Amino acid sequence: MEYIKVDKERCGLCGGCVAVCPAKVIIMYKERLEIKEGCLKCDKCIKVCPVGALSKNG
Amino acid sequence: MDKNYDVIIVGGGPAGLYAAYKIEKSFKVIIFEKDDVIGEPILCAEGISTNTLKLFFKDGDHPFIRNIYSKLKVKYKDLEANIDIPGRGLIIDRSKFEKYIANKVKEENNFEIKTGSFVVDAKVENDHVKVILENGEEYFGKILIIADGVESYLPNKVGINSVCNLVDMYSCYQQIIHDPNVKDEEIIFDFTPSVAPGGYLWVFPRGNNEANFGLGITSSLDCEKPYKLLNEYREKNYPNAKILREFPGCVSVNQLSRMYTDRVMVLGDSARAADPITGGGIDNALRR
Repeated sequence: MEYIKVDKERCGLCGGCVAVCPAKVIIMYKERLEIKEGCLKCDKCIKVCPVGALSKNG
Repeated sequence: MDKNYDVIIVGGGPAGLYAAYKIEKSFKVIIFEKDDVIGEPILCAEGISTNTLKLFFKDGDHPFIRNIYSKLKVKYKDLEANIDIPGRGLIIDRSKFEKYIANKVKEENNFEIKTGSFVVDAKVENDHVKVILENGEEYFGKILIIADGVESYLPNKVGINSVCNLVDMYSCYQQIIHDPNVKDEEIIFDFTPSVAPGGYLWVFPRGNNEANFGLGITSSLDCEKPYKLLNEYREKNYPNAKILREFPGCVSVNQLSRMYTDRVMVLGDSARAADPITGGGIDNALRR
């Protein structure tokens, strides 16, 4: 299971999580966010998200 | 098709478009924009100053101006300052603004703008730079300009570390509201810490009692999420406001210590060049 879960309804594709991700595993495509392998579990993306669209799975 | 260019620009926002506009017409230039149209989506408070505009677009009509305001209100807790700034502040239609520059780039410079084209990788090779699109297509340039916004991840592909620290980031939320209490002639900044911890709340008048109403907090702080803080403030101060549109945004303000490498330049929000006081990105996107 992926460590980070994205709530697609909440995500406004603002790109903050991509900017703070130290592993650079988050990519913002035109209409979706994708988290690739290599997540460092630092939770910075959860913290930066203005709408709480990112959370830990499980 | 020849895929060799003098300059490849990634990102069709203010930084990329204006950089293109300033390049000599005899060069062969292409701009890649991820979205299908220039000027969408807009996640922006749309404020710039008259002085900034004059620096970059001296002549002609400016069809992208929404509103010119003349009063500035700054709040901090129960303190308030009111300053007259006749004709100094502008709220623009960012979408029209980008289309305006894009038209100049296409018609005056004859450069190619390729929309719906997401650049996923870039490599500096001996005497050129190679970029790869999402669909696998490869393009080659003598110079690469990276200007694809706060979500940029290309700098890291060419050896420039652009990871942003949480303390240098503002998490924002904005609503476009209509409310009779919005004054078209007045811009408001509220720096009260409980309203917007480590940041400020803004009311940027769009005209017709509409405003870009938002707030940004320092992302490293433990506090409520921006959308919650904004809704609380709105319910208290603009209880009858009609929300026309709402969206999140993030502003990174610690400019890259190195904005270039061999054959590559990084501009605008992707260079973290937004103003650290205001969080405004357009001005520095045009300047750098």
